[in-house]
Amino acid sequence: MKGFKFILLGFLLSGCTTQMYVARTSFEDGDMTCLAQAYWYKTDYLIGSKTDRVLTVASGGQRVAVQFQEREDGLVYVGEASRDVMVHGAAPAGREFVCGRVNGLAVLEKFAGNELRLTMHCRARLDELSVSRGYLPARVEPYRFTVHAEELFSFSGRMPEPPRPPTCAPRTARNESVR
Amino acid sequence: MPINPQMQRKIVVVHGVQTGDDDDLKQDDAIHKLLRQRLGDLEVDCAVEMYRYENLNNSVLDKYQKLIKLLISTPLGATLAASAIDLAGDVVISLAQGSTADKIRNALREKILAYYAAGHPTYVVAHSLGTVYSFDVINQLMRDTAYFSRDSRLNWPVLGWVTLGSPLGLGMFKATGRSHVTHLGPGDRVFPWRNYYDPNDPVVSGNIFGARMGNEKIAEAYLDDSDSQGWSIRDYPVNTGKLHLLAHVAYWENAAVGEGIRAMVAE
Repeated sequence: MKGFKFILLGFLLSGCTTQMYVARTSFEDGDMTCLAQAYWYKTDYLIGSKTDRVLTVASGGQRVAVQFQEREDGLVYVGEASRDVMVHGAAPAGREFVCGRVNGLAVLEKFAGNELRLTMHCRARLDELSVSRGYLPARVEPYRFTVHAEELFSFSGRMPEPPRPPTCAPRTARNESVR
Repeated sequence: MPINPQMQRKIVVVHGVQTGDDDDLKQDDAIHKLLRQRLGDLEVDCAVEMYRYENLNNSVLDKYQKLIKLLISTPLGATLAASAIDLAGDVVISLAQGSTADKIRNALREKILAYYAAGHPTYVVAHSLGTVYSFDVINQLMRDTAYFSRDSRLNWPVLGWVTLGSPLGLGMFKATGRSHVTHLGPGDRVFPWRNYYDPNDPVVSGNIFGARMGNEKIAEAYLDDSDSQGWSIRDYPVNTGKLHLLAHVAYWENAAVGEGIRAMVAE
């Protein structure tokens, strides 16, 4: 009986509600209109909670995700001279520099609202081994992502399924499908 | 022979602490599934291959397992004891500089160099104790002047390294010759190491109760200020949704991990 109570207590303590935040926007990439999405998870337990401390921003087409870290100066993508080239802004002096920033948000745990703004200043340095076109393109104005949350309760720590990878479509086709 | 960028990319998965034998290991299937889910429009010809070494471990541990089975009479007790020895034995073997650890490292090195000789761009994804073996092998390859030119990645036998739930931040590994990474010398290109961990993972923190970690540097603690180091190192704390040891084995389904591997293979 004592063992059963112990197991039941463990079961209750591991029960949790996980929220998946999905943020989406679109951008023009040559003659294509592409989707970009960021997502992260926050899990609340009976005692305590935990949140992703990395923001994954995936882009459609021949582009790969870029991952933002929580640093002292905010939620940023830290570029490196050997891997990233500053497109907008002064040439960086050091080996590392901020290539992207989530405006007004330092930690994902504190997110509230339904919009996320993100700036990108760099492009990836590609070489003969690269098969992608880099990550979310640099641009002067911030990307504005619309955010929605999905919630799932589970005793086993099951998480909501991550969103499907974003895609691209020829500009006219995407516009028609929107209409 | 340098890497041929047109050849199929190989992702070598190095497993971690396990119970059972090689036939029980399916992490390559899990990584393959994760990548397939996250690939989207991006076309990359890649194959996921498992590096299995559990049978090497088990041959050394056989005598201990037989002994414990003699000592414990109930079937349940014997099973639990054997599992505990299996797990603890893995850790001890990795720390040792003995023949079994050397066999494991040498076979991994041979596998990587076979892909390199055939021209395949190759990446390593390692979990748990597998991160320790792969740390040793990658750094050993970097000390060989035949590889890892800083100006072109075409003579890199390993193009990138992803670690999951790594114990490399623990003092016992630092104290056994793993306190720094091999410097690549002056040049332009950098070797990427992406370290994913769940703050509740007891193997990462060394806390057997799985107490949540703060914002500690684990892989990034290996960074130094020298331009000649030639490593790009990032720690990514992820929420697997699981607690304690369950968090340690939940990385295979984590979308952020899949995106990170996808980016590394394609960049």
